[in-house]
Amino acid sequence: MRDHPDTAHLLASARRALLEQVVPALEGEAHSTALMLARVFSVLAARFAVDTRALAAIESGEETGELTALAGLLGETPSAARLACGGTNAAIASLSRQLAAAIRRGSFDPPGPEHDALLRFLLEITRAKVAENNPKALDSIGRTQEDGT
Amino acid sequence: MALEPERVRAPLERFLAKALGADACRITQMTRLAGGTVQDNWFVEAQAGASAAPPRRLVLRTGRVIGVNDSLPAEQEYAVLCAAARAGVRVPQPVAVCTDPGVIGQPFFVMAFVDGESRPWKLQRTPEVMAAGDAILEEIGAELARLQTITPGGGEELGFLKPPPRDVAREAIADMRAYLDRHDHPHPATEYALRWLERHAPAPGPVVLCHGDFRFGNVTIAGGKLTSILDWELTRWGDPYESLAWFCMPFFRFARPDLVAGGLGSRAALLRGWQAVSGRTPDPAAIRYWDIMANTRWAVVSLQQVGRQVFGGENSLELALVGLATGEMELEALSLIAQADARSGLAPTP
Repeated sequence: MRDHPDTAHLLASARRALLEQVVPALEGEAHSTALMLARVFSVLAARFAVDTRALAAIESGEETGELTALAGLLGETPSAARLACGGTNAAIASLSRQLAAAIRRGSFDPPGPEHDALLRFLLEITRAKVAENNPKALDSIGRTQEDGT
Repeated sequence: MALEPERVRAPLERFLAKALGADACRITQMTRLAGGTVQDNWFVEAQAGASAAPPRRLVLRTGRVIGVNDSLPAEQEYAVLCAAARAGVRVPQPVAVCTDPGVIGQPFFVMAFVDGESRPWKLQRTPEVMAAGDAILEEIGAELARLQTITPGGGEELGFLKPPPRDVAREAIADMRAYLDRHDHPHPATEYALRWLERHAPAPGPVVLCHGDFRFGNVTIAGGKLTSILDWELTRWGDPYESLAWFCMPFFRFARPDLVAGGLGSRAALLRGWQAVSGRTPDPAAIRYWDIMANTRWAVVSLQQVGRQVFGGENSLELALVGLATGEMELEALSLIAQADARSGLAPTP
């Protein structure tokens, strides 16, 4: 077992030190680069938290939410897909590829529950991506039509 | 290869003397301008001829090591800049172009320096600019309409551009799908947007010259007024509505997501300026369609940019971070599609 600090704590400390002690001392290009590095630390922390939760689900014998939803959309069984692909991540990649192809073929075109389930799934996984990479952007999205166009 | 002012001074002075029609030219200042992931811009102050004349304030623009696939080389960007200037678009006055690698080691062009600020975060913190936001947007819309008077076969020598698409929307969709097919990760959200765009594609319409990156950040503003439109290296033929949508993407609103047109003001203002010059009444359905196209296209371009970083050996943190934004454009496209479908009664808003 590792000693303290854990990964989340290390990442948070590094980001704080960068923002509080390094960034104010820099100017110009170095200043922007340091801000980009701080952003990288935030993304790493968010991804680490998500991956930790997924790992805990797998360890307790559950399938991850993304795999379950994907399998549901394609009429597959999540555990069978996981076994066939040799792991959760490989199964998600394989089913996502199948889903992308089915969308392009028009399989989800007809209005109805399957289309709506697909849109809900896509909104959910995309929102999750944005929440990891740039949570502030969630405030900007979906406001275009407030402008009356 | 970075430009070294001391190394290029003498040949550049000889080039500028000829370009400015003077016997001799002396560079009195040469400093790199901030910004520009794709291009490298230098402020050059040059004393041409007699020292009594005021020095010329110029910008030297040259390609950086990081080249975007579709970006035009210096001599072609210069030709586009000249065409835009002739069409009456507010651009920096073109001065000269040089393709001789003996001068600074790579092709470049020179244009007049234009007063003004282009960095969005600075402009958004300038009360004078934000108070005039809608008025500036009207100017920007008017300039866009002037640019769109340039059409294929209209007399401008722009034969180096990719031929004008017969069907802008469907060709863009095919290009994006071809790219996704070469990508190692599947993108179901982008595929969904592309399928929607395919099923709702408008009948082919007129094709016009399209700046390719018409957004806040590529315009200069001084004294609360638009002074120029910059960065023409992504110019191509396209649909008139593409730029009206590109300007309003959430990604390019920076610190003001509430202000739809570039984080500067309302889209209604942008459209007013465009309509005043083009004489066209904006079509809300076309705007909704091209909003979805713009976000989808930028999502795919961000994949291409980060692909150059991951697989192309271009080690740039800035490029790597571009890839973190793909989801933002995908999410906006999905939201707009859900709203459009709800409007036509096809599907409930989730």
